[in-house]
Amino acid sequence: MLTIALCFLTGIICGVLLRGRPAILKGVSWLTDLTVGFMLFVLGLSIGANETVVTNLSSLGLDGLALAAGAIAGSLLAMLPLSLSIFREGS
Amino acid sequence: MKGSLLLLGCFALGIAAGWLDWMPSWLVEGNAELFVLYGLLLLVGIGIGCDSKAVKNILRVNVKALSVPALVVLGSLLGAAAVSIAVGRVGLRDSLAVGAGFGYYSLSSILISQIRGEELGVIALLSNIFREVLTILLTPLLAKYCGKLYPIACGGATSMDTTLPVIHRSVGNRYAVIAVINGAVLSMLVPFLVPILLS
Repeated sequence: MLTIALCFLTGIICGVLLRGRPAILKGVSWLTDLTVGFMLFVLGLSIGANETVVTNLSSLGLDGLALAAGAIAGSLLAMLPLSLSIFREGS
Repeated sequence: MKGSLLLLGCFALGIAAGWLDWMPSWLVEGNAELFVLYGLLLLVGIGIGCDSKAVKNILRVNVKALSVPALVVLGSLLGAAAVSIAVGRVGLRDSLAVGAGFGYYSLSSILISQIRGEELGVIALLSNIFREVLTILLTPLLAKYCGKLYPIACGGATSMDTTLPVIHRSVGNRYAVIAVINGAVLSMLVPFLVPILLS
């Protein structure tokens, strides 16, 4: 957990130091996409080989959908005080 | 959208390869994945740090703009907790971690599957993809019938990139700035919040 936060913070500091070089930013975003693609491929690999996960894929999907609906509903409800006060439209 | 499909393609390809038992053993054994994850976080951080606009936006914002992501965090976690308690299939902490992805499915699912295992990783991946897709579908309706803040809240971390075009079209320039700030703050919280919730 600490390593995760440290990697992220180190990245931000490196990024600030590397500012003003668009070529680097472009390369970094390309490399990020590549890494994410690779990690998702590896995640897929371990899922495909895991019989319990494959056979339960649809029920895991339903769990995911329920949680997404809950998180969205919660976020929308949380906007209610804001839209009635400091973000009152037309004010 | 094209990028999301490509990533989903990588994931599907991985499942097929795993199912067909085409597993390079160096990927399964050892902890190469963990180091790739660290590298990924480093890259995401560099991307944010490099982007002077993103950092300036976050530093410049006032309490008013920060109230949106703060309440989205609260709402997402409470909503996920409510589903966990009502449905009783995914544990409370696990549900909170999935909710704390805020739609940032690539990073949250990778983090969660590393910390907690593949099963929850899949739930996190699908759940956060659903959040993005539902946002794209619901944005015009939410903006019209509820208000301009609502599509932004619905999008969570995605409101600064993948769902920004559709949100922008529905809410206009002024609220698009809030969408970017909201997305940036939530994206930065994911790598902290997910491991904390699962520890």
